[in-house]
Amino acid sequence: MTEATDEQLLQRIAGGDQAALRVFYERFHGAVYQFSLRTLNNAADAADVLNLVMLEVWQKAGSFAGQSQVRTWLFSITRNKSVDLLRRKRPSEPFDEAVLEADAEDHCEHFAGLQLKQQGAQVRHCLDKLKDSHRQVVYLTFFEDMAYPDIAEVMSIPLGTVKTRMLHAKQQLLQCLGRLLRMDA
Amino acid sequence: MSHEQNDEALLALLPWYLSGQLETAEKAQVEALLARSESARDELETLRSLAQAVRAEEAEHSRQHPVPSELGWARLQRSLAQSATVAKPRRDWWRPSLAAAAALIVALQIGILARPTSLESDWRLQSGGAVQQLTGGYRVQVRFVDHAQWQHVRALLLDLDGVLVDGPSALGVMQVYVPANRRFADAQAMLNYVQQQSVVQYAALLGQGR
Repeated sequence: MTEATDEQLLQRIAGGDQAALRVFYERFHGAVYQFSLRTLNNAADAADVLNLVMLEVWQKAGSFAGQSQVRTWLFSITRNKSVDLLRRKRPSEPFDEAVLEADAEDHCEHFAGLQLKQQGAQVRHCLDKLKDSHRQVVYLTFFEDMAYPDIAEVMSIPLGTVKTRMLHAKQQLLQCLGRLLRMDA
Repeated sequence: MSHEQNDEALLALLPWYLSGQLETAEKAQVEALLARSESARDELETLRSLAQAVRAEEAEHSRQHPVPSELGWARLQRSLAQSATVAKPRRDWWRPSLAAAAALIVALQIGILARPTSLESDWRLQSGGAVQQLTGGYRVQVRFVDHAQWQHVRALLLDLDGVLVDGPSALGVMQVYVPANRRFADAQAMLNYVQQQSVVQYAALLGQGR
């Protein structure tokens, strides 16, 4: 069973095979949880989303059309569930608008003012400053090694928007991390 | 497209060149650009440093936030068992039918429960026209399990003598008015009862009337 492809697992899940769901869960629960956590910034909420996503896999495995990779389909479900939860918890704040955008010019000063001692904390600080949707593109590109057409599908946005978001995210990260990266160079 | 525009378009692909996620033709075009452009090579090195920093931090972030592996699976099994108590549809046809049924329930309740407006009323049934005001009682947010069907919602409303005042949302969340009566000693007792129902995933008290 553990040797089965993602598609084969989904076929078995669609037939009501819980053992296949267990293998599928083991294979993907980490990626689902971590991606949701990047959107929600709350471990309990990310755990809720993980449960909702796997329930949806159980219910909708038969609807997987095979037009994309299973992982892309799964990340798409994860993103939708995460955004739904975010909107439910913060109904007055449209997704993406809650995160600072206008203060990009201040990042370096604020960053220096914090006097963060660890490089990781500095990087985290800069990543957290990104808009949600920009951070997701960075995460999917650099951590999940996802191709940009797949990211477009996961996030339901045009290909050009993926590139634009990456460009903006890169510029903002470089501005925020410029000193750090120069020190490393 | 001019050479400059073409180069800009290729530069935008560098993050995915770096992660080895470009198709063969795009990869060849990017490599041609890198071969002829020093600034593109500089850009690639900058991106490489950035990607390394991001990867290292994301890996650390993942270590600091371990996945609820076994707990998550146990929870999923409980959810599956809970959903198995109701008929398990293999297609996602219930949501529109649930929404339609909910609208029907609201419409019926408006007709059945129409009463003169009270100055002490706290909540209102949602409707396109007539408005029913409800006095006292509890306003409860309820999310039904994903497999729930409209008859389960209706059965619970009848059981509680409750009224659907809003929803369901895209996630199946509804707001239900439960009148205060002798059945439940207090709001907590009522809430506990709702939460124990097999078709209810969670319930929360939103408000309590006068």
